[in-house]
Amino acid sequence: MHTEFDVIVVGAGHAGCEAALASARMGMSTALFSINLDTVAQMSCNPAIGGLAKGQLVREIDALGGEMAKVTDETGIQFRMLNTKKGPAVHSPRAQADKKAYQVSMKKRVESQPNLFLRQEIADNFIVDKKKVIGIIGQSGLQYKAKAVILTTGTFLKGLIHIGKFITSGGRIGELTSEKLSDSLRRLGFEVGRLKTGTPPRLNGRTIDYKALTPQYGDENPQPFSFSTEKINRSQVPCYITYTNHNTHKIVMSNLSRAPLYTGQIQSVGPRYCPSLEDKIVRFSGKDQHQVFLEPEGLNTLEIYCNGISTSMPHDVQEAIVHSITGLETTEIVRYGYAIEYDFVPPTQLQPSLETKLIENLFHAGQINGTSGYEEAAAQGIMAGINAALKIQKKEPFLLDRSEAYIGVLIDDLVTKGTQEPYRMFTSRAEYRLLLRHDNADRRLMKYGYRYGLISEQQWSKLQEKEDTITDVLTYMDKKLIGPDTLAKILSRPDCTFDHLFAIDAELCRRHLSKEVKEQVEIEIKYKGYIERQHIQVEKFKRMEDCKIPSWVDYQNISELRKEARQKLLQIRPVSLAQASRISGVSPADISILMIHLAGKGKKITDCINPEESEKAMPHQ
Amino acid sequence: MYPEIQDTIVAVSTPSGRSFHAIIRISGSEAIPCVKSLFAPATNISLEDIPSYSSVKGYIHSSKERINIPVSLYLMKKPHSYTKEDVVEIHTIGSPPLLEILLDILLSERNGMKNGIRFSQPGEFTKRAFLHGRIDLAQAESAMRIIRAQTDLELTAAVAQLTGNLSRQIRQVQDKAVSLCAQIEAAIDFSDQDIELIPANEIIRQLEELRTAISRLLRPSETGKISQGGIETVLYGKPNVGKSSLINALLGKKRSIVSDIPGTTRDVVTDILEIGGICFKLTDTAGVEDAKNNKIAGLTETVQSILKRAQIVLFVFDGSLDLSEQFLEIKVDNLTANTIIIVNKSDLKRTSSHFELPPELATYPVVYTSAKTGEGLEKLKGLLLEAILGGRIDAIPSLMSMRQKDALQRSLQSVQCAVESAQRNESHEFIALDVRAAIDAIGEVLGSVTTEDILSKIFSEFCIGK
Repeated sequence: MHTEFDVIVVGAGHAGCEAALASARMGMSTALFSINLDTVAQMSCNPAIGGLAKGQLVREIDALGGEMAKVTDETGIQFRMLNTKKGPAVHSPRAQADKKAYQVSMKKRVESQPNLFLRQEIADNFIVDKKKVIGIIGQSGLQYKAKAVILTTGTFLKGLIHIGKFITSGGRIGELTSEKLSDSLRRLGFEVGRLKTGTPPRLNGRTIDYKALTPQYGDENPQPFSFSTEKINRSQVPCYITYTNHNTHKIVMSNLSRAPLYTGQIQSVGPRYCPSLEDKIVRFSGKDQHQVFLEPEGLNTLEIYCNGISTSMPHDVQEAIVHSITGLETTEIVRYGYAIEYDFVPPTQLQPSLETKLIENLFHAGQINGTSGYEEAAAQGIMAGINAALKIQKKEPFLLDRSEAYIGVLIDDLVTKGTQEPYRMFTSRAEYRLLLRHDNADRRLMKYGYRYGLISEQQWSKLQEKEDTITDVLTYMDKKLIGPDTLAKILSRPDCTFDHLFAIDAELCRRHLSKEVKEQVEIEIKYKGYIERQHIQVEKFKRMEDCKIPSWVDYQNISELRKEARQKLLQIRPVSLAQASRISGVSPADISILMIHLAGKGKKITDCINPEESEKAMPHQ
Repeated sequence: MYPEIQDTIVAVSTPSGRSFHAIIRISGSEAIPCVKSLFAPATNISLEDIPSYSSVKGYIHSSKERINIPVSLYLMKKPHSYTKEDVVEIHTIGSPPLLEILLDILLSERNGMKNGIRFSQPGEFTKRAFLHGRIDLAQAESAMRIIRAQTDLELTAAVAQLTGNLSRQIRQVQDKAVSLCAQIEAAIDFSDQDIELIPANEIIRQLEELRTAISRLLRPSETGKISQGGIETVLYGKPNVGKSSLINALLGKKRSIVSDIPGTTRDVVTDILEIGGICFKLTDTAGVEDAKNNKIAGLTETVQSILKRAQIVLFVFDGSLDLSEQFLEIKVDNLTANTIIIVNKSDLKRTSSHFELPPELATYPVVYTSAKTGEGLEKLKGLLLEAILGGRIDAIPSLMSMRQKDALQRSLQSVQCAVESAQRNESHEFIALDVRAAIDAIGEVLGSVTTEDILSKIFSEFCIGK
């Protein structure tokens, strides 16, 4: 019986699958536990992947060698590029997913992966030796040995579901929960918190009056998520838009006394960007309608996801709400909406590698860290998978910083600031947004995927070719004069496109540039000023980021730090001066003091602050 | 946001306020090139040829103010300086407005510089001295203490100065910027939602509003100009209530002829009183009183205009005499300025039984003083200071520290860039880049605004969530 692994991943959702795949591909014998193998990579909420900032995350996961983008391309049923009226930095791909097809495809990829062992099992406890995790005890008492454990438990830790007064336990409705694991975490000394999220009712599409509704179609030329997908081949279907109305709002208001969110039945905090219908109506009473998207859950089902009316109202109120909406007057609800509360482990207890500070070789990824969203989960999953493998191989952890990737922003925010509500990615969280585009995720990150063996030679050489062509074209365009101006200068004019250039320069035309190359060249030329500005900001940022804080620093004994700063620094234990500076409550003066303390302790801090001066600066070294 | 050691830093290294002599110290790689481009030596000598620790006279020209400011330069080349970097000291006259002009010229050089030139952070010269090995390891503790102390001191001073009116105005500007930023960010991050997105012309309108508001904060207002010579403070009261003695006592010196003969003060006399770094220009109206009859000969034109110009009126009574009676004789209509009631001569025995203040004056703060014993003088100074710091008087230019001004100046530049991007019809994320920079700069004055703050603003104003 196979009970010894290098890595055990607990939970086979979006984080777990990416974690297990990455770890197995890096040569680790990896077990992936799931409470139920029929719900591997289940989309608990809406049937969609990507969206603003999330689309960028998916592209980054793909560039690192993850699976999410490929599965979406294979099974997606409506692709749209969002924000196309704005600049390229905030274009974001989004797709409607075929829920079942997605699951099946992901499950098969997991099953086909050598080194990866999928198992139906519930993890109840840890085997820990001297603050180091060495295994897992399953539901039946079965013991598994592992060099590293990754928890990707989603909403399953003491998941508690609310529909009106009806309360039941479950990681999703109708499913099991993990009742013991979070207590085991508490016993190990972890602080455990509780969050809330919700989901809307699902409808039978046969009973919807589509004729009364506005369809929303996908893009005519769907753009794939994955850098390795050539073309989207699946047939595309529309979504439909409808609205709540005065009557809907009256129903909600007159039934607030029965809403678990307002009776005190639910205490934990839900996401502000994804409020329940009752919240929207109470908080924005001036708004006389709210948009509702009817999203198909797949091609082989008529089930419709009713995006916009997430609710935990009692069954009869949900019926009344749905029936008050245009097009849904006689619609059948096939699953009722519900709210779910679940345990999470505040992520300030993690290192930037996603390994816990408390227990060595234990990694957390996904909703257990207080995030929400499949993409955020998958992003952490692949990072945790890579880092667990690296830890076992006794190699340096793989960290992305805020200037390199949304993934870097995500993890840095989590481990440095923690979160008060389910954390979702927004482009506004990224300081260097103009550089972190979906279109250049491969150019930013594929080198890492390749370094860790997650990107194939073939894909890598394809990228090298692309880079070479881009450099070539840029050099050529900077030199080639048409009249008084270079081709680059001409392209930088607001309305000018490559097609104009092809018309005036035969040689450029003869190069038969790919769409991807043209896109990169065009962005680099058209937005040169802004991009250069961000590069200068990044340079400054990197200098602070490179000032590492050694783990021996004893904050207790730096008396000049203010008390609040000292406590925060003790809690977070930042790895660099830059990370320290991002902790709320740590001021620039505290950073100066820290800098001097480190220099005083003979740490070569000036090396990174001022490379030219370093030798003179620290003569005692 | 955090100080960079590659930057060249500037600071005024003499205590603020009035002194005969002031020094502006510049440290870093750009110190010499920067000063070189501005300095005209009196004799024909190149800056590079000046040996360390010797001085050269000359002037720096301000094209904006059209004046030549006489200065002496001292050069200390690296590593033979306190910070072990190139250091230039500009020695000049200790006049705050002059120093501001000089700093303005120096900091406006930053645009052309590779590594930038900026105001130093508190304690930054010490920090550099330490990091470059000037101060030895044993002194690390004291270096940290200096930084802590200077930061706390500056913080207390800056916060105290910013209470009231000024901070309210800057806060308003900050709120405006954050609100605009939230609208722009919402239009980026939630463009797929059913919310009202900010139209392009509205972005321009709000940016221009922001630009005007920041410019106004930076422009010395009419009252501000007066404030530069001190807050107009007028002592008003019946002759012989002891106004001159009071001024002398406040200044701690003998200034004008003081006698028992009413109306000894013949002219409108002014003097500068400094309290906590803020100057009050004290004006005594005694010179325009009717000396012969120990009465005020009606409110003459002069007194009227002086009172009208006043930012603070000190209404002085003789505490040994009937107060209501005195009030009847000197009654003033439409007293709009800040008024403090002073009941003087509190050391003398009261000769009348009417010591109640007239009800018309009930709303003003009262202080009992004796020019002779010094009683109440500290309280009076406290009330004067409070009138300014409490924000009841618009004295922005004299109160904003140069560092704060510099921060606002940079925010203005960013807003200007944003306006230009918006007018070029650039996409939201490019405009947001500069709006964020503006918010960061204002944040240096009032405390920083985080992404979380902006998101909170979005979620409170827009119904987000499909």
